[in-house]
Amino acid sequence: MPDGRPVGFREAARIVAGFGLPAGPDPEPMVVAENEWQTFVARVWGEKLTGLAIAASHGGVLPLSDERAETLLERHRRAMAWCLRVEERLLTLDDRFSDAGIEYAVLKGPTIAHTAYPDPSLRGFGDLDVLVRGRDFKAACSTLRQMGFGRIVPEPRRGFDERFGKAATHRHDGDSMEIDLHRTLVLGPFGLWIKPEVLLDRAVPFGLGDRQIPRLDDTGMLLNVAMHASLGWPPGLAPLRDVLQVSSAMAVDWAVLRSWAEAWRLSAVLHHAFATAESVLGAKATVDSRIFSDSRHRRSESRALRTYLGERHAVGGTALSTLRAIPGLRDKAAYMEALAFPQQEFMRGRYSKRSYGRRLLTPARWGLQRLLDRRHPQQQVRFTPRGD
Amino acid sequence: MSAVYGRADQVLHRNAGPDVVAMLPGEGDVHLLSGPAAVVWELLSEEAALDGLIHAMADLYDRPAEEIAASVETCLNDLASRRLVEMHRA
Repeated sequence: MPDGRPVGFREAARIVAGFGLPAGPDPEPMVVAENEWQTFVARVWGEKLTGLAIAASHGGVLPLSDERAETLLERHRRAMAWCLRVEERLLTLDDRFSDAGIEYAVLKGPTIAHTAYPDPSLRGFGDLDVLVRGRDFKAACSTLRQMGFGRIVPEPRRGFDERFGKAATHRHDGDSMEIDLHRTLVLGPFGLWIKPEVLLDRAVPFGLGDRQIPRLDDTGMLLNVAMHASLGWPPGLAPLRDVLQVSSAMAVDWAVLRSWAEAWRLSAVLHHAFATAESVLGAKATVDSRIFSDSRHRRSESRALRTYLGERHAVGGTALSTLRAIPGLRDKAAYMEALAFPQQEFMRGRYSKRSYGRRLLTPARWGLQRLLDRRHPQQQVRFTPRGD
Repeated sequence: MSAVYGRADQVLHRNAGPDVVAMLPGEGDVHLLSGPAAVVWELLSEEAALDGLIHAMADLYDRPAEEIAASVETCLNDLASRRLVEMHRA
């Protein structure tokens, strides 16, 4: 067994996630304990970090026995083979969307791997995320259906997607590959406050095989990964790495990003993303990112951010903050009605038994959980990386 | 007129440690290239003549060019048969 500082799987995964960052730490060689090795491999596989783990191994930070190296390499080969299949599907999607006149941009996954990382094998991904304009959402769903992708959960009510929705996950009938069709970047108030059409107007191409595929420009990409890292649930290591990777490697227009942050109430989210990435990965973010730590965050931003994090997330925090963010009583009423009395197809997709009673009890369950959280604060969910 | 080899433009590929995984969109199969095949793939990041590839491989493996020439050509033909590599006449 190679020499190194003994570490548990969580710390090893965290160090792997930060490996090779320009302003990152210089970790000493580490060895994962025997009884945690399989968990570590599962963790880096699940977090799409096998490429960085291999790089850390080659860089001397994660010295491995031949047996362990082969185990990790086998997982990495499988991860990369799946990435190719996802990219192949993306090329088909590009053909179909072009034929249907649907304007789109690929989010995260392949775009980050091919543009922000020095080698695409350093960033794995498991599915596709695609942003379309609200007016094209239905046509895009229909095109995905023709490609063999079925929507997992129907919209709660007709028109909900275009007005309040974030994305609809579609799964392929054959290989179970998933495509998240986005109308906006995140669920909840921040997804309602941003203007995704502005991001689509600035889309640029990236090369995939012999094709050019639309993606968000570098500034839009950073906004996207920061929102995902900060607001995604559960939080993951790869999105945090993406924040530092994209901000240091891409030509971000910080003045534009700041103007978006002010207009779309995202200063607190961006500050949180950079601060969390620095704290978890132990690396310094580019100095440009300090403009968000200097910002005076609006109360509405900070309050909305809290509903995505920790204890409020699991007890209806995001739904309630979405309700606050929806302008106009008529739209608020439509949102509440859609959630309280969704159509039968939604109930069938969401619950094994169609039960409006169970659905209507959800707010009561949230209230009870909040009461219990107040009495037993040590049991509340905290903002920690996935699985910790 | 000599043959020049290069990766097919439409091929999707990734490094996987010392190996390479590659596929031609629409073909369905993901090919694993390991050992000398992965090295040849790496050398083909730029188009190269057969002689140049043989000499580069000979240098890398510290073997006489004439000893490995047939293996390199077989490897190239195999990659070409999978349509991962294309041959042009220069």
